[in-house]
Amino acid sequence: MSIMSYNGGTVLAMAGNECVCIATDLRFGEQMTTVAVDQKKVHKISDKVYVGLAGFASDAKTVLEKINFRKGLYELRENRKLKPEVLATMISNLCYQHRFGSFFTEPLVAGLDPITSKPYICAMDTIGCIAAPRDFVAVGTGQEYLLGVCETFWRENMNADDLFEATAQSILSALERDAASGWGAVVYTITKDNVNVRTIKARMD
Amino acid sequence: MTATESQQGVLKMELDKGGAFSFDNCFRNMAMCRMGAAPPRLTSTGTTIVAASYNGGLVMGADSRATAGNIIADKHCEKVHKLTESIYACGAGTAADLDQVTKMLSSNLRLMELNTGKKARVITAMRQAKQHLFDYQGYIGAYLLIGGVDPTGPHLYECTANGTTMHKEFAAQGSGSYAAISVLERDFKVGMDEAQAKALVQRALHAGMSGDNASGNSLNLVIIRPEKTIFEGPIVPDFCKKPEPIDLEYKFKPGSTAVLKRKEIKYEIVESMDIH
Amino acid sequence: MWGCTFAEKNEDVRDHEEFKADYLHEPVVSQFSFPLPPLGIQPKEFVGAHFGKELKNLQFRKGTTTLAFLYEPATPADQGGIIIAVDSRASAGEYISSKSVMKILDIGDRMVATMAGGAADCQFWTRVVAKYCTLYELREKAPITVAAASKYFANVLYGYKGQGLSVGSMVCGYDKRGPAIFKVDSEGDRSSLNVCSVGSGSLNAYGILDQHYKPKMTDEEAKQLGWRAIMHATYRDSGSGGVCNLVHISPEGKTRYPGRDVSQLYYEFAAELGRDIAYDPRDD
Repeated sequence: MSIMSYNGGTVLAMAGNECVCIATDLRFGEQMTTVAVDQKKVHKISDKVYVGLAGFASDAKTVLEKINFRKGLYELRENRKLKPEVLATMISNLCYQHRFGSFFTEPLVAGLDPITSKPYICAMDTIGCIAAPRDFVAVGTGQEYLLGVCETFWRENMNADDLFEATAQSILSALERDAASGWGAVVYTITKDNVNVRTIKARMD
Repeated sequence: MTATESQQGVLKMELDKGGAFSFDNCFRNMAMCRMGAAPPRLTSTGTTIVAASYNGGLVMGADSRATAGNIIADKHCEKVHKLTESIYACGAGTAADLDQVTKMLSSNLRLMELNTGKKARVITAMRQAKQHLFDYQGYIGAYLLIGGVDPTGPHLYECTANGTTMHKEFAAQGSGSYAAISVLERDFKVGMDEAQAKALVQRALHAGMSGDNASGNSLNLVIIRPEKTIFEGPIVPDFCKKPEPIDLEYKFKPGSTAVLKRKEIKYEIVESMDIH
Repeated sequence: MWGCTFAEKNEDVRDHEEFKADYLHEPVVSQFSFPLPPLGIQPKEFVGAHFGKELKNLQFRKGTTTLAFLYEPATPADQGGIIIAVDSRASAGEYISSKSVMKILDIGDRMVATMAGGAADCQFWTRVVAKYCTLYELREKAPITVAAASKYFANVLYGYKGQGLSVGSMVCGYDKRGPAIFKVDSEGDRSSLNVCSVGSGSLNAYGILDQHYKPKMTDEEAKQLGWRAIMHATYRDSGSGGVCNLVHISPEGKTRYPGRDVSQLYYEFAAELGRDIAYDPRDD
């Protein structure tokens, strides 16, 4: 068994027109046993920037603390808001610093530019190789199922409502076939006016 | 210890590592592997990269697929990295290493250009790359083709992860290089013009992209002439296009997902920070 | 008759003794043998090397919760007997390879075997047992007992001990001695039990069974207990899920109930308790 699937968990982000969606499952397991069903893997970094951390949960927590630390220092030093691209590069550098003894977590960044509201999504591997496509990214145990289904469900220039449905249905499809993820899901829809957080109904097995 | 001193201590600890690696997790990770846990897959470029020099200039190109095991991690990965205005590097190997090595090279070369007031030379870029890669004895998995035009003319170097470098007229690297190099070996001629060289590089890339599963999607080209550099891409070859356009639109009606709870997070209206 | 061996003789005048010798002989333990890997390679190592944990799509299907229990009728209106309840998930590692596997396999009119462990191993050897039981019934003109069928099953599995078979089955049925459950596994173990659960989610199922099981129950209570225990097992165990298939074997016969979605059962259970199970999004 890979370390990446020891605790299980999946995160998905999709980009739309001036909006992004980031979805997470809620399972926290120890191999086959489900230990908790309220472990979200998406964390708010600033108003319009969220980060998802899939993989080994204890490393995800460590990395999240390091990210918040660096983000705090950045904002104090630079006295300006963090752009999602900047956060992604910051996390990439953090992960790459541990190139030869990596954290077993795959970070994902989703957010809107604080000024232009341009959507930005990206995923990384455990040592910080950024992949920033314009459509969707996924990390975690359900990645393979998600990438396939998203190829069909994603469309150009979706509005916030359509994007929410596409993201929610994609992650629900992946949870049907991934035993290591599930037990509920939460979808964050980030628009330039607000963030909508929705707990969606998912299978409980 | 005063507050400033301890603050500096924190800064040193977390940020001022000067780009050096941290080996904090190594023992733990080795112990976990011994317990039977498989290490995670890294993203590899699994690439075809090609370069060929012609009369007075250089053409370089790469495909745009990044793979992690059997999945395509990135369909539009940029593998042609700009080092300076007239020096470019194409990379194959571990994707994160390539991004970081080329980022380091470009900033070092730019600093050197500003310090000396002269354009950087290709051999400088190559020497910096090989020194860095040799220092890490091949553990940094970057296989580079470094090429460009400087006052001494067009140059192309191949640089492997353990620091071996070779000066070449034409070269191919990556998992698709076997197909690509055979095209180059057959068709390369000394003293080609730009159009011929571009067509040759494109043909070699096509061979790599169709013959290698880990290469494909689209290609990027850069043509470096003494006076100016032209970047072309992404170009999608016919055999990489989707076979059928999607007729149906898979659109969900609003409300098709059962929402159990919702919460709206509003942004703070008063901005405490300046936005630039 | 086409392609039939007794075409030379007329079936009607065929000697009864000869027929008996050909078709109603003492059942042999098993005429089946696996083609073994050559060069002295051990089957277990071979299986481990080629279908090991690292190979995602080559793993045998496993991960299950199955349970069965005996009960006596609480009122004269009830039938009593055996309840057998199982989930329907087949998984290979984290991948759910099927959501609708029938893990209760028929052996006879009033006997079933449940499936846990390697799906192919269970299906194949249950078929072998069912064939034995049918032949036995033809020969003896009386249905086989659960004890005999399960003992045959255990003996067969014992014969292949150490060769990498993975079977955890419960042979459940109603015979002339009454209801019985025998747990049989690929180690060659066989034990008669009143309450039994097998599979990766079995401990979770036992938790519910131990809490709510009574020797005397109404039929409705017994069925609810089966569904409830499987539902709770699938909730905690990622190797179990899908729908809950349930069979009730009474002195009168076997009743199969349509599969019930365990996720739906969980939402119903939560509503019944008035428990709010939806995650509350917090501002962080």
